Amino acid sequence: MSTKPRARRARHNTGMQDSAAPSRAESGEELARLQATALLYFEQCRSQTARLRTLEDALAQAELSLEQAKAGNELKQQIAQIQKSLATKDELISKLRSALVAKEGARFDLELKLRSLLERGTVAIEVRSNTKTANHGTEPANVSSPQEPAGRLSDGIAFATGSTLRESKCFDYRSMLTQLATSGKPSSPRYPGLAAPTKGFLFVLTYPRSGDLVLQKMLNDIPGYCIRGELGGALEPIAKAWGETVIAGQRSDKDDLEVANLNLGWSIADTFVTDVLVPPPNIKVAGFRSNTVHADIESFWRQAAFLYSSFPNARLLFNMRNNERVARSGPWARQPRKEVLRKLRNMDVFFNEFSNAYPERCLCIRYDDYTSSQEARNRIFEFLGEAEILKRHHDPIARKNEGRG
Amino acid sequence: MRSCTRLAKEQMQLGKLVEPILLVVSDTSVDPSWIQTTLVHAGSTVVSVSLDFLCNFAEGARRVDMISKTASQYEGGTGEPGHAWYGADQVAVKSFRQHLLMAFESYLLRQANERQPTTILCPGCSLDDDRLVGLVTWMKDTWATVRVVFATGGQGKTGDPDQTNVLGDILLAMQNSSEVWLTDGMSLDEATGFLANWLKETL
Repeated sequence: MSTKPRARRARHNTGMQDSAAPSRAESGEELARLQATALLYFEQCRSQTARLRTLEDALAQAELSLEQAKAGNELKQQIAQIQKSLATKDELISKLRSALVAKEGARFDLELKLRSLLERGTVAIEVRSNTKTANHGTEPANVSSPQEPAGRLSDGIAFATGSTLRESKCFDYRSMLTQLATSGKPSSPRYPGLAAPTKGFLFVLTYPRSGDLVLQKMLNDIPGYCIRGELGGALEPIAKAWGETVIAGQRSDKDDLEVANLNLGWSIADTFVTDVLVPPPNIKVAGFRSNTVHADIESFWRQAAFLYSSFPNARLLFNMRNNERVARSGPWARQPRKEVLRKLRNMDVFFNEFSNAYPERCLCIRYDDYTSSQEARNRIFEFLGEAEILKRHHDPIARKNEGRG
Repeated sequence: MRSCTRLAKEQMQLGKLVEPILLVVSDTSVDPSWIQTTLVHAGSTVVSVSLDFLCNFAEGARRVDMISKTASQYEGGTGEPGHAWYGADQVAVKSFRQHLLMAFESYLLRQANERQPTTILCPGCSLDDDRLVGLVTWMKDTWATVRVVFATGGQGKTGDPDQTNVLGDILLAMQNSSEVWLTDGMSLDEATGFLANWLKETL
């Protein structure tokens, strides 16, 4: 290979002078041809490189898609697993609800048996005492108080005339409230009245001459609280109508129960707040004080259950007072003393029964305690979630007592 | 018989039930299956409620009115915050009555599976019940689209009521205008035809 160009150059130099010009021209053409060919190759090479790059990109894209597809499949599997878990959770919740209702039923059956024994006089038992509202020795020994036996149940409980406790439908209210704990809440747009107080509702249930006005004043001194007067009387017959749907609902399935009770209750409660309570704007807590004396436990439970379930985050304060003192006061003093004491003792038992069943949002308090003990007042404010208020502002009752001193 | 008044039309728009509705108060003397069959035969969507249920709504409205009046006597415009009736002066009685009715209507709609109920049936009522006067008065005052029918038995086809009893009081309160008397002495066709004609004339 290396000898040929050398030989060609030798021929050029040894007497082939005539053909030198055409050879140069041929060389130029050849060079041009070669250059063109090289250029063509170069262009082809560049185009191939570009195509190669495109193919590489496509390959990378395909690999990416494959990875995404794999990830998608994994995601789908994860979603399927989550859905399965949710289904299991729903099943567990359903079982839990059934268990709660069954537990409530069993507890109530047990209570019924005990009451039945008591009515026959074979067993004596004390009413459960609410240790949270323990008094501080302000009660005479013969008056029922949370720390003391409230008398024998057969003496204390007033049954609906001619009926047993089961027939008096308290069981239905209890079951309904147990189910309510896992049910929905009223939606704000549909029930604007119920959404107006930012912290919910507070209802004071008591009897006349129990110091309820003092309590109302004390509560209304808390900034953002609006506790109205004796407006609860208007709710009693409506709560009775609602109660009828509860009883009907218990005979049917859960959906019927919710449809019948919850919506009707919320509608009525919303109307009651908007048109009867009429709380001022920017209120934290709204409610009323009621001193209706209930003749039987069914009537009381109906009212308390309606308030507890139909008003969002409703708290119930049961205000009690030394029965003997109440019996000597106001219109009570003109009625037969034994009958008055029986009525008051019944009410105290009703209050304790309900607050023991639902201690999260119910509290039994005693006028005799909170007017004399800072600790008792603290308990009320803690129950209301307003302990800070009491620290920041001077205790209203202590201030009043100081003023008297 | 009276036609649908302007007030009725306004109230129809206020409430949820846009069509007139029939309240049938059926006496204990009427065979419950007969009245139920008659109403269904007449093409009604019937929702059955107890008289107690209805009367409790009426009583709730009456109590609010009473509380408001009592409060105005006590407070006398002083508005003393610590008073027993604190806040009762602000009660919106008319609005409460109307909204209470709307809550009741919602209940009826749910009971009728969201269909427009055409008839509320109160079976097994005693037509001597004193509460009936208050109930019908409340309904007429608040719910102009309702038409009240009393179903009685054993009084013959005309069923003319005794004007001296509770029904007589109701009739007087309603100015003899919009009640009709069915008896289970009628045949099914007679009763439904009578009801249909009456509704046609009334509306």
